[in-house]
Amino acid sequence: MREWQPLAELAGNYDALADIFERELVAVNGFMHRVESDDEARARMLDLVHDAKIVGVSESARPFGVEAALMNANIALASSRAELEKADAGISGGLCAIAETGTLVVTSGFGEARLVSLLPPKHIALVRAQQFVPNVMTALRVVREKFGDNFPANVTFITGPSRTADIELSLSIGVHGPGELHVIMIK
Amino acid sequence: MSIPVTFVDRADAAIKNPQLQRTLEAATTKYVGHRASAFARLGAEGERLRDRGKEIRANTLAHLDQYLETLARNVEKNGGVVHWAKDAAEAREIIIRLARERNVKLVAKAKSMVGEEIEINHALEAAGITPVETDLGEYIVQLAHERPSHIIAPIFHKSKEQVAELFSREFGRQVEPDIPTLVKLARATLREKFLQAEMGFSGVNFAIAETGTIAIVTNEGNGRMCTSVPRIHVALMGLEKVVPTWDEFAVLLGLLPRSGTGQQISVYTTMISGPKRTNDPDGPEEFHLVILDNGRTKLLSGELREALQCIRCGACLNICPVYGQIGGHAYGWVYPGPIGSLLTPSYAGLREYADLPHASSLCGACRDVCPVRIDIPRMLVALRTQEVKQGARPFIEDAIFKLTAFVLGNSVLYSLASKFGHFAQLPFARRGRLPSLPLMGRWTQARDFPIVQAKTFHERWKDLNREGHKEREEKK
Repeated sequence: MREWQPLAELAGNYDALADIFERELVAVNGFMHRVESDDEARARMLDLVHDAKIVGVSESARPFGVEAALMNANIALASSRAELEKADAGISGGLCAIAETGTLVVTSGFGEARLVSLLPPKHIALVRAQQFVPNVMTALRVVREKFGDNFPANVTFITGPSRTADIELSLSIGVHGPGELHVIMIK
Repeated sequence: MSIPVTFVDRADAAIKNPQLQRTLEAATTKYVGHRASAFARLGAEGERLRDRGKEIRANTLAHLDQYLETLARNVEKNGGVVHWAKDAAEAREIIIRLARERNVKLVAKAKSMVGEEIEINHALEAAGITPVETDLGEYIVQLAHERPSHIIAPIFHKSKEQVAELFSREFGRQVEPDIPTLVKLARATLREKFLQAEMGFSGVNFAIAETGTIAIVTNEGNGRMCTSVPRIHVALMGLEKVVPTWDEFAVLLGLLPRSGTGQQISVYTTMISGPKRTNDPDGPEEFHLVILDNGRTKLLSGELREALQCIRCGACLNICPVYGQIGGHAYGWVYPGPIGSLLTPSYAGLREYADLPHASSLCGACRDVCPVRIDIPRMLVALRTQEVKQGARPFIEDAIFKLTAFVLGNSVLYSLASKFGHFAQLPFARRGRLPSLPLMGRWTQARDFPIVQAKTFHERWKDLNREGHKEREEKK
């Protein structure tokens, strides 16, 4: 075996990949929401932040039109680090999503703020079905293709909310990273 | 409670500690089970993955200088700075200098075994700089002024009551021994530190030469925090941690979490390629990679080279019957368990840690579970041989083995010894066993020798042959 390529045969079969992704994400205490349109995605997102005062939105979430929706709902957008530190949720997009492990891939670059998916206690990510890839190796290739020689300073694989079992091997969800992860997938 | 000085005393204390025994049993059983499930899920593919992992690690070591050069070049291309440290002292000096030059008062640290190896915390404190461990287990270890007792789970050895007690002392108020409360308190406290610290310090799980990228595998998010929030990020790595390409990194990433905790992948895998770029709204302004030797190139040229293949998963600790009885602290240094029994004598002195290569029955369970198939038992024996050659064994042991070799090598002496032994053992024989022997009190504490028989095999064979002849003659 020259390369580690699980589920390679499902490349391009977005429904199947999404099913597997959902199974893996739920197994690590993440939440998956499947919607049919950008409108539905925005509505679902608003549901998830209905009691938020401030929300951080990163560059990769902009294409989904979330900022306008948030402003209409009277939820403030974090415009500084200090505000992001107090934000109730962070909303981002993602580069791709790995079915095999239920992993969301986020990268810095193109104006993306890393801390939006890290500082607030809740992270909501919006992805499209076509962004699903079978395995880690494919995801790494997507990163190389997008950035070429200008490799981003940070690529992070996010697989569920933060956790620890350090104390008596008892599982606790929500440590330093977000304690809640929601992935909204648009067909 | 002071820590006993010798390995045997530390091991003894561990065996007599009921809480540690309970914790070790529960924890090792759990991790062994999780690892087994994760690999069962992979089936035959898992075995191929391990073979590939071994190949990758062995190949990397065979061309280590080349890959390190490529790594350094690419880190610098990304805007990072590479520092080469030949030993712990040099590494400390580099890091302290960086911190001083940049007026660093607080360092947020993500978990790093190699950081423990160079004792960076003491050095920082001595320089008037405050290090804060941010991995929950390491934070607790820091509060307790202890060492972590396991590579992956630093506080294997602590109960929630002990943690609550530590927190109560630290925060000057009564803290309940309730795990969610403890985690929440740690989160709030450490969050402040992440946001305040001028420098973030991390280890490196893998350094990908192809793009000058370091990968950090965590579950808590502190790895991301330490490497994204403070304005300077310093990463310390042993020079054996380099991986040539992303494809090969993907293989090792498939092995590490499964072997260590049974997870397919950790919650966060952070891949850092230099400081933030001009248009990045956040991220550190400076990235420094310190590449440490500290005895590794010496291993590279010897019989213990394979030990450098280790990817620090902890699987050998979890399966080892010795570790399972004595825990991590008994090993006396940074790296415990089977791999520790190779690395500690190699990095911290064979004479000082002469007992560790002997803390094994050579059962091979470690080799069976190692994700990159390191043959630990072979190297334990090699270290034992080195000890004998260096005269590092106790005089009595050396004398007994030399005498035995002499007697066994001479057939006349051997026969005499058997006869003599048969009589000499009489005072010590109990019901066909020798439960205790002079000069070998410790050895026979947990072992019984069989008695020396009245007749040797040769004598019995002669007798039986004679009887057989007689019978055949009588039948005729």
